[in-house]
Amino acid sequence: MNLFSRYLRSRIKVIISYIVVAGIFASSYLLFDMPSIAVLYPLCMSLAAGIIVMMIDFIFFRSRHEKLINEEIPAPKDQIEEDYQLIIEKLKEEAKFSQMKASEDYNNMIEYYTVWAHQIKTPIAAMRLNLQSEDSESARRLMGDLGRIEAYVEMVLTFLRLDSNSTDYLIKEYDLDEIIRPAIRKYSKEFILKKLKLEYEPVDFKVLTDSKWLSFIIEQIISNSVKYTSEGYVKIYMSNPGVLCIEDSGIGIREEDLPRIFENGYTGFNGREDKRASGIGLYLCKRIADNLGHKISAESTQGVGTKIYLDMNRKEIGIE
Amino acid sequence: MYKIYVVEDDKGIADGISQCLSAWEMEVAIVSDFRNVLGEIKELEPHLIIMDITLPYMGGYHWCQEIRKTSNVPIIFISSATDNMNIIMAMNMGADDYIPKPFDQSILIAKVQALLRRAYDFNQGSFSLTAGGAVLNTNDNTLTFNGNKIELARNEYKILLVLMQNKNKVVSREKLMEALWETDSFVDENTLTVNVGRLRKTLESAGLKDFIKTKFGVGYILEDE
Repeated sequence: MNLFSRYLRSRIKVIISYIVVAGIFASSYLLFDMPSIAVLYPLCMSLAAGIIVMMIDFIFFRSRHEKLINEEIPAPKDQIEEDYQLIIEKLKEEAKFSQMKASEDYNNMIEYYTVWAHQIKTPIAAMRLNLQSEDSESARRLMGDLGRIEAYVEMVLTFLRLDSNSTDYLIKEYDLDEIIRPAIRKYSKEFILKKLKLEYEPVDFKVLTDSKWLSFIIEQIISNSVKYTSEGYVKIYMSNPGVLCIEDSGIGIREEDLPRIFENGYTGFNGREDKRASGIGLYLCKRIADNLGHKISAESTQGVGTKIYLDMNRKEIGIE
Repeated sequence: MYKIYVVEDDKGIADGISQCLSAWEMEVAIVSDFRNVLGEIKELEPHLIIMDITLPYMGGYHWCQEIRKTSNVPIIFISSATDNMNIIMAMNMGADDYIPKPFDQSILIAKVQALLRRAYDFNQGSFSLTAGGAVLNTNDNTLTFNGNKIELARNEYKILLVLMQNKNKVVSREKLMEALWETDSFVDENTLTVNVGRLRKTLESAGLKDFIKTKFGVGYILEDE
């Protein structure tokens, strides 16, 4: 009915002109004192004919409306409609073209970044190999920085892969220690250089996850701990069954920053002090944790240290 | 002496590999003509091949397939591609192992040694280091001196290994700690001191007195007269 009233509104000119014409006829017949039936009869007849024509018109109107709703364009009825339709066609073409161009640009970019990340790994590998044969303070420092570069490259790759639809997750049961140990090894040079104590005993825990992605999270947390701790320790342990805790005695996080550290691009006070912070590491951790079904959270006291919790418990999933 | 053939187009990496394998008394040959890899292999008859996947002219997969038509020589791929697809591809093409770039020297050495051991001499202690008349056997973590076999604890073995690899050079405490961390023994400075002390005692009881000398404030040195 709604559609019908809208139809009537669109035909308001015709209806009003009928009423006006009918009024003129009626009043002039009455003025000339003709019998009222002589005017009422033709008026009723033409009204009936008008209604029939309108009904037919409404049926057309409705079918055109339904077509348009489904984004089909009905054949134009007149010149004006044809003009509109030309414009629509043109806009559609343009939209399609710019969409294609945008997705092509995006794919090119992704492809380039991927190639770049692989390209840069070769000089990194060469530097790493050659630095290793050198046993000196400066070589160790360079090695530490090289490790950071590697981590940043890994971050780019992770960032690209995160939203790509070709991303693979291989969910299996893994030994958590097998994931933690290589992550520690990656930062061993910095631990030793900064004389940080590492307290870690095998946690002996089996976790249902994707090892590559979980490695990224754990590496990122350890990297932050090492970066923001100048003396003291980093501890890695299970704080509760299924909850891994990575604790450090670093500078800590301000209370007002704490709720937002997992947001994209949020650097907080520490990040602003340290110009290198991108605010993307923990954001990626959170996104990956969400995808894996793990929960990540933080606790911190400024000047005392930070604890990052990674809850890997999951509701029992029935395996058929 | 084992001959290792390296097919890698990045000179930095090729030299790095060559340097770290030479320390283990392996003879390393780096590819000179990327169009004639097969010919060079035929001429050199290497015991093991280390190959990059992306190479000029023909990729590593191609050469690997070609090599496999005539030879079973162990092949290790090194590549910056770390996705599972590439690793699986490499193995399917007949490679024996895959090392993602960037990698540590210790990983390369360990994989090369393991493959050589498996392919050529299963039982012989072919990878050994010598200094001051003592022989360190990498197969069973023992030291042989004057015909006596001395069992070494894990950390002791690792410390001695690094010192013998760098004999006549001062090895910093940091380097020793790094080496221990690589074997998942996350020691701090105090623990290292204790470990070195224990190692000295072990050596002394075997007759190797003052085998390891302390360079105060720097590290340790093992002199091979």
